[in-house]
Amino acid sequence: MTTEQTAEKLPAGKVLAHIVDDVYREAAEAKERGEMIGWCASNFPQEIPTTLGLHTVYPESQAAAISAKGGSLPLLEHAEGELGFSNDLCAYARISMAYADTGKCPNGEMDMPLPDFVLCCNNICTCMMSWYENLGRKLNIPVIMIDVPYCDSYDVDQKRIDYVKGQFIDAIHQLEEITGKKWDDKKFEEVCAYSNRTGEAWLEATTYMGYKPSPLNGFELFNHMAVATMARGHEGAAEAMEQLCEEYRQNVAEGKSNFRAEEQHRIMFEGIACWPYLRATSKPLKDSGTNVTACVYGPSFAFTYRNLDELAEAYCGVPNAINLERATELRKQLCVDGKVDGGIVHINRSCKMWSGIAPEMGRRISADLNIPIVTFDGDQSDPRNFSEEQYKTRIEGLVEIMDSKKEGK
Amino acid sequence: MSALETQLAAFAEAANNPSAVLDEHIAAGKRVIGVGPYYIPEELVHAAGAVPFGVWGRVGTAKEAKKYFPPFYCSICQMTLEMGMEGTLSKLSALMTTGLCDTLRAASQNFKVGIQIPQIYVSQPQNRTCASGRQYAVTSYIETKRKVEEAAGQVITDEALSASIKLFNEWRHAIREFVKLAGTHAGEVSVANRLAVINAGYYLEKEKHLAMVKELNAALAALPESTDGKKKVVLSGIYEDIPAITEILESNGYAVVADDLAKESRAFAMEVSESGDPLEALADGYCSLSGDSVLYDPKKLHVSKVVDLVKESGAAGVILLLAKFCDPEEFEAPVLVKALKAEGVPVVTVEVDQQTESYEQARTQLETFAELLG
Repeated sequence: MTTEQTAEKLPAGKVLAHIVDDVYREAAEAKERGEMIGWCASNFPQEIPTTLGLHTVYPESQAAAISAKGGSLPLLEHAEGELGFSNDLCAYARISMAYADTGKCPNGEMDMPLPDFVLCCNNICTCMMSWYENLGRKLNIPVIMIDVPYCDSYDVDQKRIDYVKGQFIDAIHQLEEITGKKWDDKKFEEVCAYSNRTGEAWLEATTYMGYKPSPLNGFELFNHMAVATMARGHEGAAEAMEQLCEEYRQNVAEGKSNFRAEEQHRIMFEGIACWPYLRATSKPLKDSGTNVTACVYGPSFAFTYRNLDELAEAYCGVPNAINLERATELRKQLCVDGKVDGGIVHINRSCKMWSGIAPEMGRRISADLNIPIVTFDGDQSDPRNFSEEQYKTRIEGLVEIMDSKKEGK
Repeated sequence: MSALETQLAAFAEAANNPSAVLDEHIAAGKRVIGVGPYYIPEELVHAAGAVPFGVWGRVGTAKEAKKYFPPFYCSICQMTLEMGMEGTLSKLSALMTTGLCDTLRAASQNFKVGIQIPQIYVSQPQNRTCASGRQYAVTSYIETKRKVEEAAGQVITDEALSASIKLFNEWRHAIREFVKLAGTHAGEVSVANRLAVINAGYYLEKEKHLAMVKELNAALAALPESTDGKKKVVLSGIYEDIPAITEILESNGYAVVADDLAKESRAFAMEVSESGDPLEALADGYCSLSGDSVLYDPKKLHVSKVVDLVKESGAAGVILLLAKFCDPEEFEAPVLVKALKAEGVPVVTVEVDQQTESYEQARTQLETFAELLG
C-alpha cells in the first residue's frame, strides 16, 4: 500500500457506515432492476442469501436507525392506530409492520425497498416469528423461517444442531424455488470464510475494551454492530472490522481513546440500546467518567465456525437462545475481561425474553463478582417508555456506590 | 338439586378446589406432575402411573414473583412462579414447561430458581411439517419420556403409552363432544358450568374425568336444545377462567357455542395415531397441529379457523379475550378482528389478566356487545 493510499484511507467508523449505506442502496438498486429482495432477521444465517447472491435488508437495523434519528413515534402510532396492534408489542416489530404498510419513513430516516420474501430466525425471540408471519400476510409474500428452539441446557445439543441443519437445507431449496437462484458450494465456502473473518474481527474489536483505559467508547459499538448484523458475509465487512481493530490497537499504542472523558469507572451495559435516547443515555455516563467496557453485542454477532455443525451451533448459541446459567457466565466473563466496576441493566419493555431473565441475571452477576448492578426502565425504540430522570438517578446511584467502593479499597 | 345439577356440581367441586384434588391424589399414593402451557404430551405422565395436573397460574397478585419478572409480563408465568414460591406446587413431583413463546422461555429459567421441585422442559419444534422438525419432536419426546420416568419413579412401556394414548384420544373426543353439547344446551350448562367441566379435566385423573364427561354428555344429549334468548358467541384467546369475566358473561345472557381458547378447545384438538410407535405417534400428533397463535403459522390458518368456527357453530359474534402481554395473541388480534369484520361477524376485544382487579370496563364492553347481538 502506498503512502498516498494510506493518507486517503477513511477511518473505520466511516467505512463501516458506508457499508451499511451500501447494503440499503444495493438492495434498492436490485429491486429497481426487478430482482427479488428480502427482509432478513439479524440472526438469520445470512450465509444462505449471500451465497445465493440475494440482496437483503434488515428490519431490526432499520427500526434502530429510524429510532436513533427520532422517527419512530409516527410509525409506532401508525401500528397502534391504523393497524390496531397493542403497544405492548416489541417496538421494532411495530415500526416494521407500520413500514410494511406505509412503505416510507416519516422523514426519510431509513427507507428501504419492500420485500419479495422474508427470512426469519427465532433464535433471539419467538416474537420474531409472529412479526414475520404478519409481514408475510400483509405483503402476501413467502415466509421462510429457521426455528431455533430455546436451549434450556447449558450446551447446545446434537438434536438442535441436526434440526437447524435440516432447516438450513430446506431454506436453501425454498429460496432457490422462489427466486430462481442456484446454490453454489464454492461460493458458500467463500461467504463462510468472510463471515468468520468478520466475526473474529468484530469479537477482537470488542476485546479492546479490556485495556485500561479503554481505547474506545463502549457506546460506539452500538453503531458499528450494524455491519456485523447486516453484512458479515462480505469481504468489505471483514476488512472494515479488521481496520477497526487496527485503529483500536493504534489507540492503545498511543494511549488515546475515543471516550472523550477521563475514564474513572468502567461498566457493563446490558441490553439493547435505547435508540431514541442515545445522547440521553450516554451523557450521564460520560459526565461521570463512566465508560462501557463490557457489552454482550460482541458475542451476539460474532459467528465463527469451521463446518456446518458448528455453523448451526453458532446460530443456536446466540445470547437470547441460551439458558440462564450460560447467559450469566457469558456476561460475567465479559465483565471480568472488561474489568468493570459495575453494571447497568436495561429492562427493555420491547424485549420480553431478555427482560424476563435480566433481573435474576443481574443479581447473580452482582453477587458473584461483587459489583453493583442497577436497572433502568426503557425501550429500544418506543420513546414513550423511557424516563431521563430515572436513568440519571440510577446512574448517579451507581456511580456513588462505585466511588465508595473505590474509596473503601 | 336435579341429577344434572348434581353432575355439574361435581365438576365445579374439582375445578374450584385444585389443592383438595391434589391432596386426594397424594393420599391415594399417586405421584403428580404439573403441566403448564402448551401441548405438553401428558400421555407420558399417565403412562408412567402419575397424574398430570394443570398449572396455568391462578387469579391473584404476584408479590415474590415480581423480583423475577418485570410488570409487563404474562400473568400465567408470573402467577405460576408466585404459586411455586408460596409452596402451592410443593407436592408435585415435577413441573413440565415449554418454550413456545418468549415469556415461557424466560419463565422456564425463573421457575428453576424460584420453584423448588424438579423441572422438565419440553422442547418442541415450530417448523412442524419438515422432516428435521418431526425428528426433533421425536428426539425431544424421548428425552422427555426419560425425565418423566425419573419424576414418576416408573418406567414407561410401549404398552402403557399406547393405552394412555387410547384413553386420551377417547377423552379428547368426549370433551369436544361436551363443548358442542354445552353450546346447544346453554339453558342447562351455564358459562360457569361449562368452564368447570373443562377445568376439572386439568386436575382429575383422566379416567375419572372421562367417565364423568361421558355421563354428562349422555344426559345432555337426551335433552332438547336450549339456547333461546341466549347470545351465542365464540370465545377466542388463551383462557377465560377469570371469575369476574364468567360472571359478566353469565349476567349478560351469553352462551359459549364454541371456543378457540388455548386452554380449552385448542388444548384438546390433537389427534394421536393409535398404531405404530407410540412415542412417534405423540410427536406426530404435536407436529400435525395447525392454526394456532402460539405455533408457527405462516399462512395464518388460525384466522380462517376462527372464522370457520363461527360459521359452523352458528355463533352471532366473537369475544376475543386478549391475554395481556401475550405476544402471540397480540400479534394475531388485529388480523383476526379484521378478518371477522370482513365476514360481517361482530367481534369485541376484552383484555384479561390474572392480576387485574377490576373488570368494570370489560363489563361495559360486554353489556354493549350483548345489546349489539340483540
